Amino acid sequence: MRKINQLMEEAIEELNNQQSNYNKLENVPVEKLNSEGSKLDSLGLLTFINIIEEKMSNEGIKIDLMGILMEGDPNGVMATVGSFTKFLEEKMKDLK
Amino acid sequence: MKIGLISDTNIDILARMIQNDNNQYEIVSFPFAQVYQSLISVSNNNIPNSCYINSSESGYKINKTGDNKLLDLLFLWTRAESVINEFQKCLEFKEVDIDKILNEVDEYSNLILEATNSCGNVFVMSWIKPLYHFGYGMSDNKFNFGISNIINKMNLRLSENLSKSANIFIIDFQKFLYKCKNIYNHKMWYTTKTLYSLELFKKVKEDIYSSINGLFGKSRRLIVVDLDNTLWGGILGDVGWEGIKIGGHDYIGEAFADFQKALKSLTNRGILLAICSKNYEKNALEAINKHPEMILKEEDFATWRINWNDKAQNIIDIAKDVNLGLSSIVFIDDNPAERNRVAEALPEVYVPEWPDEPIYYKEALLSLDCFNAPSVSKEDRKRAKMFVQERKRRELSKTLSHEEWLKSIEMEIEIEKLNSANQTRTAQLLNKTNQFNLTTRRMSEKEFVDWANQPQNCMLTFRVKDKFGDSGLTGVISYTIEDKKMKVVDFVMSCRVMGRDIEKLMLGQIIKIAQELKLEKVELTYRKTDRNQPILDFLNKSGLQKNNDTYIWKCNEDYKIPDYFNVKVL
Repeated sequence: MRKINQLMEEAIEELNNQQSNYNKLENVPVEKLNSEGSKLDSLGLLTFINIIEEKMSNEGIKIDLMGILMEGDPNGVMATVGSFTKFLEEKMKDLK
Repeated sequence: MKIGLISDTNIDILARMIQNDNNQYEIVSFPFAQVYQSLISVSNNNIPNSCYINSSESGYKINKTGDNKLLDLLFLWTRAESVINEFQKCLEFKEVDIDKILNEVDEYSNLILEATNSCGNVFVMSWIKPLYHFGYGMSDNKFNFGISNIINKMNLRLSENLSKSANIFIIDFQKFLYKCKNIYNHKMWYTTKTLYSLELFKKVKEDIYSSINGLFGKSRRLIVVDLDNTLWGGILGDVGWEGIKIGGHDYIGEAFADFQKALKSLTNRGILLAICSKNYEKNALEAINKHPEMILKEEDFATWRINWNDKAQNIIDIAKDVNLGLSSIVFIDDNPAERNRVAEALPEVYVPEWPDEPIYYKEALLSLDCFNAPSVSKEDRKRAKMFVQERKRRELSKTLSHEEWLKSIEMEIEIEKLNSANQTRTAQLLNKTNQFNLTTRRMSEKEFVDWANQPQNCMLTFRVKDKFGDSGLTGVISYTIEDKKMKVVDFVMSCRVMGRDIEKLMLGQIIKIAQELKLEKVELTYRKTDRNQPILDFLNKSGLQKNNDTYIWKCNEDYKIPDYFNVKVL
């Protein structure tokens, strides 16, 4: 299993193909995703979550991130790149 | 360039990809699932307020209009079941009325045809049966019954209907089934009505770019191939021509034979072939001519450089031989070091990654999208032969003075006004020619036909033949009359006939016309590009009076046309 950080890096690179020059994401913990001031609009956020889900699935981990998002992300795990990475790492540990 | 996207599903991801990839494009995303309304608004030359306009400068803006043409390109991507109601019944296994389906296809086609008037070009994605749908299984291709049979019929009808316009192109959806692992993204469909996968959007985007390149004459025209382990298996210098692998009962040999067949097939659509190989020329030509399984023969190659020199330099020389720019060339070599060398030294040359195993060569070649062109003319089909004739001309020219040579080749020139029979080739020539081109004006076929039909304008075509063969329609000159002046708008000549003084005849011919029309002068204004130095060299030597970028001939004097042409005005 590759490190979550590498997976996050690839997902951000893929997503940035559709982001304007002003709204490119950076793979830094403080980069906002599902919180005020995010560079992502709703389609951008859903696309990003979908990319992560697919990448996790390719690694053999099935996880319904879209479901968490649809429920309003009550624990704010997708608020920033940092919180999201931490959440995914913990999920990985649980699954092991 | 303004590109409109109309779809029954959410394709905003595609819009963003195109926009953020290339700042030349302004994307107008029509609201999805409103295909008919969107087409009607385009026909009415209107972008509705509900459109998102994605501009590189300032992100999303609403409703920007004001240009002469509403859209330069319209991309229309629909599912058959969402625009043809009767077909939806078909997917639900209900009994359907084929005539009703086809009538709906006709209505839909008419809307597209009407919208075309407001657009430079239109790309329409063909329809497919939903890939997961089993249909009627073994009966699915049953005539007028199966879903597959009906969708094929609908696509044929759409293609027939849309053929009425020269600037509509139907993009084949089927090819993406080969290119993509995943076509659909069901989760994105249920959350955002985005039906297709990111992978598919990327491939569609690349296909749109390749088609735009084709429209603007940027498709590649020459394949330069290596020999050892590219055209045949083995190293000629080690095994001799009898030992190289082509055809026979060996799977590797068969793969090389198939690759050669694929190369030969491309010559039928006007792609030229050349060789660039590190070998002894005599030995290589011996192999080409003597090996019984060789599919490609000496006469299939427009030129070659078979020597021990640097391949990048050899490719520059090959480009000069065939009078093409480096951006027209594709270089194929099995050796990654040679590929890297050429890619680094000549970035304009397209050097595709090449498979390690010859069994994939044919597939790699035939899946290249760099040959995408809006049409294939009769001239294209004969082009490979013409270049071989040109090689023979060059050989003769080495034995005579230039003027003696021009007299000896017995040139015949046919001059004809633009008409429906020559307009496709004329459009190609106008859009593809870079070097001998006065203004490098690029337009779609429809646009320049409309231009030429205006009473003050005229477009003449020049067809060149000689004793070696027919070079086809290789010259175009157009002009507009203003007061007592003839203003030359296009002066274009194919590199294929450069060095034969055809340009002097073309210029002389329009000066003659201007004199017959009792005009005072003929004016040509040069518009510089990074490629059109050859026409400037001619203008500077032409005897025309120069005033900055404008060249003038006063009609009270005759322009001397060389006497080695036999001219026929049709």
